[in-house]
Amino acid sequence: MTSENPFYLALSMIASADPNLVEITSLSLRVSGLSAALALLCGLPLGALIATKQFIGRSGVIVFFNALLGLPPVVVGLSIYLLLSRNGLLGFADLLYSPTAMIIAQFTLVFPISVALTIQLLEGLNREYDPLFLSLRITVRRRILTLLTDGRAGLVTIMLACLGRALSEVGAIIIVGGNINHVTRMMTTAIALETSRGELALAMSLGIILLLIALAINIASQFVKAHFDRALGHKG
Amino acid sequence: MVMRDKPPQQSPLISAQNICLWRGDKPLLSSINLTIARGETTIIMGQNGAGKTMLLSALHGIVPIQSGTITHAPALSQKPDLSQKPALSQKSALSQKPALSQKMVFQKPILLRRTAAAHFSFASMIHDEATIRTWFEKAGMADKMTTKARHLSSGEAQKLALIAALAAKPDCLFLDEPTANLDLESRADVEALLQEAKAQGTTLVMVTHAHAQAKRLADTIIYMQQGVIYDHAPAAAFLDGERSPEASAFLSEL
Repeated sequence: MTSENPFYLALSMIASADPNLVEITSLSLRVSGLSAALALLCGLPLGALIATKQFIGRSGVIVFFNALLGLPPVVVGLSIYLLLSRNGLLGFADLLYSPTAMIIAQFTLVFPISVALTIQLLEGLNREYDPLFLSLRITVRRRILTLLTDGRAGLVTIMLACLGRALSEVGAIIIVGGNINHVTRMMTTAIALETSRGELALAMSLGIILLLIALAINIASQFVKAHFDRALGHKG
Repeated sequence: MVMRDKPPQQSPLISAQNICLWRGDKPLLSSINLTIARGETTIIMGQNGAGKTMLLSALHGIVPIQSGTITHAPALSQKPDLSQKPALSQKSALSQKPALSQKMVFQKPILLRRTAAAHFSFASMIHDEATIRTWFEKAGMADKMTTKARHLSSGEAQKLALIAALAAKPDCLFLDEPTANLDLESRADVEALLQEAKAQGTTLVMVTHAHAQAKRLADTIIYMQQGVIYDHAPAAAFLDGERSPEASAFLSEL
């Protein structure tokens, strides 16, 4: 009875570092880590630029990115699928069902999040600093660097939010990755597959690891925020 | 309206012709004409909402004016008439680096989320450790260099903003009620720093509500009401009673 309980099986798989489990987890971390990093690399400067610049259609751009916060992963997956499929615009690159395709899909999903959250964070800071920046006649580049530096506590939270979103999403990667064993099988897609096949032990062990990662991200986020709040001198 | 323009002994540092500024259809500044003489301390007085801060910001160039011209000495940096093309040309005028070196101290200091010394470096562009220390010592804040700027008391914060502005050796320093939220001791410190800057030839343009402070510092006094200049006179004459009835009414309320 005990030995067939999927929960205990899952724990023993984690404890014995089951090779299948390790492979899936490591692919997941690499793909999601890379897509989140790329999204942030593009999203933070763009968000900072939008937060500081006044231009025609600015509020439209902000609404656009805010709307994309709730972008359904399956719709992203479908769009990227159409783009990468044989007859799609990027069909020649033969990327469908590869880790690269999953990175593209997760990037598409996470990039708007990094932009929208960065705008929200830095807009207020920019409003506060604006008279000083105007008075000192500093360049746009220096203004953005200053905002990114001084807003770093919130930026770390945004980074972790983006990573968490990429790691936990299933709809996009299952469409463009295809959940191929040893190639594009990620934690979330494996959980979906193993559950439907009745392989509850592997599904549950992956679920536990995913939860632990989410928990670790949250704890790290809290810790970093508390650290910066002290270090940067936010009153109260 | 009583206008007693002081005859300028030398070419003015800043002169403003016919500045107008509206927010919506509410005029904030109406047909402002004035000259600021080099090396003089000009004090702007008036009730809340009289447009003092707006005038200061317009002269400093951080708020776009809707018509009129502001001319800065010494360079021939006459700004184009902004009334012709609104939005775009205003922005380009703002981003142009003015020839005159000028700084502003705000009523509530705007401080970065960094150490006091790092904020000082950012605002003054001075990175030399010894020079930074000299300025902090001058303000009596040598022990505060590594304190987070936002942990400083309001007096220390204002002194930090002031030394960061003065360290850049500006030709002209605009001050918006720099001592409004300060205790007596900090107020004396700030005034001492201002007197020293003045002695070194810095032109000061300052908004204040304090009658006594105006008496101590001013060479020239401007009295404003509802976006209009009522008086622009030598301080001694103004304080002796040579002023508009509106200014007298304001001073008697203080």
